Amino acid sequence: MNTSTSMTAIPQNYKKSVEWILGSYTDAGVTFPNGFQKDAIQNAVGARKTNSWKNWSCDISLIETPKGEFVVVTDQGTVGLTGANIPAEDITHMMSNQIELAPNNRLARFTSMFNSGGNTTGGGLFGAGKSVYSVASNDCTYYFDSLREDNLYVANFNNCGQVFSKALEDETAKNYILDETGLYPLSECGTRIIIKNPKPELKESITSGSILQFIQESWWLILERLDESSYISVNGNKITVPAGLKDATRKYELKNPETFSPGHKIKHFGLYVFDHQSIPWTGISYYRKGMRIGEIELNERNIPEKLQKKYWGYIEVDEQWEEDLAEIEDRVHFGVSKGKKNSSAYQHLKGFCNDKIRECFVEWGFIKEQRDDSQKLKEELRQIAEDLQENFHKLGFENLSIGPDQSEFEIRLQDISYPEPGKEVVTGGDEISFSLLVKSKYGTNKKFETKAIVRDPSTGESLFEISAEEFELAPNCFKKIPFSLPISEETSRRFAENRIEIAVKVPESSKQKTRELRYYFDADEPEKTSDNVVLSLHECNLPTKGSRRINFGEKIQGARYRINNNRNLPLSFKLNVSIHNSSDPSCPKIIDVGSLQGTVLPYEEFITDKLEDIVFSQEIYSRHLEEGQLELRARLIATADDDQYEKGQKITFYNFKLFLNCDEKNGLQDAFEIESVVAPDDYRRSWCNPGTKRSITLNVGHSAYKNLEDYPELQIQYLREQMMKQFVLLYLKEGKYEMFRSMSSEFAELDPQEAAERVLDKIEMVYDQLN
Amino acid sequence: MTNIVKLVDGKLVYEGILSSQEIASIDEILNTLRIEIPEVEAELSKEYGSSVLYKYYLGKFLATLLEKYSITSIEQRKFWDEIKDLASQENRTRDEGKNAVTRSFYQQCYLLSQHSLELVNKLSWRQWQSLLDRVSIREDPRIYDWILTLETKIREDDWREFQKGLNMYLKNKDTSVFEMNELSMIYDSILLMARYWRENFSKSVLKDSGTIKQTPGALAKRFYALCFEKKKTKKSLVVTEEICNEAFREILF
Repeated sequence: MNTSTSMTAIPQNYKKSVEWILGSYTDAGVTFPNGFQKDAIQNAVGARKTNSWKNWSCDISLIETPKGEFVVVTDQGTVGLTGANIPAEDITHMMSNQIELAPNNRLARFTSMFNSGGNTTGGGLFGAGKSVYSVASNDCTYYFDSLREDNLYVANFNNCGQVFSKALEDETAKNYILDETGLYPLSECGTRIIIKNPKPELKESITSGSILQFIQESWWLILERLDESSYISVNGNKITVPAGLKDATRKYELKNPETFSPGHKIKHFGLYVFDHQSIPWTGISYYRKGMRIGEIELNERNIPEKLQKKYWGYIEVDEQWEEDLAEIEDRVHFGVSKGKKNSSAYQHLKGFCNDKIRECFVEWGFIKEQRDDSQKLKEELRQIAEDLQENFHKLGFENLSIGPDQSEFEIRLQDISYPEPGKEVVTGGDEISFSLLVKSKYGTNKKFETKAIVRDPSTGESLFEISAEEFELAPNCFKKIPFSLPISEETSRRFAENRIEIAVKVPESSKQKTRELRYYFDADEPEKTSDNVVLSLHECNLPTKGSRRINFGEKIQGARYRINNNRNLPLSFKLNVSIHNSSDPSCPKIIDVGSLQGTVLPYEEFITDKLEDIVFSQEIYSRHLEEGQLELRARLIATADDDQYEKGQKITFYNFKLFLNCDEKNGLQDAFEIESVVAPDDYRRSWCNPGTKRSITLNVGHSAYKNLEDYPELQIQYLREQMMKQFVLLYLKEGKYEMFRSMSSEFAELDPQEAAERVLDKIEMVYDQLN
Repeated sequence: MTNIVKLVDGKLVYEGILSSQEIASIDEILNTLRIEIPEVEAELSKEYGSSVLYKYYLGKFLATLLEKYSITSIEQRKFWDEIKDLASQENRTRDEGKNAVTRSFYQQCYLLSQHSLELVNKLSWRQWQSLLDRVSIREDPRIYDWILTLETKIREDDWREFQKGLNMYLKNKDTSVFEMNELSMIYDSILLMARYWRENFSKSVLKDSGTIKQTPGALAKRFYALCFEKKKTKKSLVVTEEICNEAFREILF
């Protein structure tokens, strides 16, 4: 049987292939005329000869000729449909062979679909800009002609996806357009699209002028920048910026570009509040390349009821940020694609606008600053506390922190070598070797002691000391110590389990860490019972890239877990996921956020489905905490009995830390709490309490504080000094004498008078250095 | 703003630095509590003695205070301490731990008041207290549905042993995988195990008192652990009487 080897494009219904645009407009919540004007004008903007607006224009008109009614879009002061007049078949061939049309091949690109010509961030990115002309016609039909900058006149006709193989040229082109549409040739460089049998809503919008407002809202930034030689018009009437657009009762305009966060610079921001409701549009919109893209979602708490529909504003950002925004834009340039609002490009945009609006509205008296005077004072104190702790760290005092990440040194076993790989059984004459890595995270130099012994776990008896060592480590430095143990009856207990116990201690504190290695000296190794099902977080989209901070109203999307079943048995499981308040010592559950069930085959890895979005709503979470540490906890539970697990048994878990309304702390900022007491009869001005709930108490009933009531700044200074003093005393009370040590003697060995002097001296030194 | 104060060395200590207006408003709340709490406690005591209903209705009153003074979950322990230390005239000496809210008397009254009277009446206050002390036992709230199905009151000693057994069972379990009927069977079987122990151990002690060297508590724990081990080996959902017999024989004979 003969089979043909030539190939052809898959047949497709052209009308249906362009109608997606209508759906995209509907999805974006805009009407067709609005979408049409944006794409049509955007095409004209993109065809300018240079970045200048000089002599540029774009007109949208409804024209009736003896040949019929047409919607005509004409741009002038543009380059025209430049490039070679390539036959459509050749363009198809090039496209099917992935050959890109050069950007200046405008004629070829305009004649084909899905060819944006290297335009990555402007309009035309998705090819919607051309298809929109087809959709604008009830018959999916339009003509186009162009007088190019090389004086060649070209024309073609798109009849529901069918075009002349080559564009008509010069007189043939001019005559064709005149014969078919009754329109005379263009006299200036530019392009004209003539839509046959236009859609009624588009005609109506042009006739009634309702399209004007869409153009004004989308393009007012460009309209403002046009000079006398350039314009956008409808039916020949030039469109201007709405009168009084910025004549607001209250207004704020960013004077100079402002960097919101690294890599996010705002070029322009304006906010306008009116005391009447007749403003052309409302909300805060973001603009890209001068074109309105979409409205920014604002925090409702910042917008009082009385200002609803009485303000508008805009924001323009730098080019890099614009490119990031273009990547998350929907296909018709009316906003952010579904599911992409959590990207940092949009979140930063939203964050800046919310901050700025709140700031302005507070200043203008529309909303009250949440913080009253006492709240401000609290924040000042908190700031002082943070500064103090940061500065103490800089002065070389070790960390007193109770916050997360407070481990002050790390130990790890490495290069572990048993005589037989994978086995823990040894015999006389064998040797076990390993290395111990000790890393210091202290802020100052620290002494460490290491000791490795062999212990009989059944009796607890110490059998042999492998080695003991003492050394000092500078901050963030490590030391690797090799160990080896020859196996004999002198070092170990024969016919029994033995353990190598490695302990690392900081002599001046009670901190100690241990590790163990097991071996069986001429004894059978028991069956391994350790867990061989591993659970981990496979994927999770946090609101801010690279940060575990979550604010109220934000959400985690697409969390999914990986389960490794390293057993020769299938695993039927249930995965329960919940959020816990780990700022509370008992870590209570706040809410269940997901539950999944399934089976993992033997020795297989299983990735779960994505959990529903985890929304951190203020309503739920503020009942437990306003800010602090949370944990996303996942527990894997057996749902059927097998040889290892019984139904209901917890197999393993995976906890992931999050930070609600606060940044991940490095442990320096929360060493103590501040408390106040009104105790005029107490002679003490302040005192401190050491321990896990460290606090500094300030006696605000003391006459020394009361006397400064009329001088708030001095009161702050007074409190700062009290806190400094108590912070030094906290070190003393907790036995951290390092800071009081001198070159000649240890603090603990000083006589009382000298010790008291040393403490007072340290307090004075801290005052001096931190003031 | 937190509305809570605490007493340290006879002084009222406020969180952070407050304005005199804030201090005044907190002091006003405290004064109100100092009047209302003793009144309510005295009235309830007169009406219900020290029964579970006293705690139930006290909890109802406490719930109104939480709402009135906008006390959040995280502030509850401090608020209950404020009531206990600064307002109540009752001498509540039970060790409530340092930080967690779980063992606080007033928290437990509040939690009790969130249930129906029918459920509350199923257990004595002591039984409720031991249940409320253990978060793991009430983590699956369906235990309350099971308690509601109990037709007779459980003896104090049976309840104590039931809780020991249940606690042991739940140590490495998450009961959310069970249907309610399965879960009821599990609770029933643990109660059966507890009763079995009480009835049979006392008889054995009478017979073989000379052979028992461990404390009864330690023996009971060994018995429960063995029952659960056998249940797992047999791949049985529940501990049966047969399992109890086998385990009991192994422990005591």
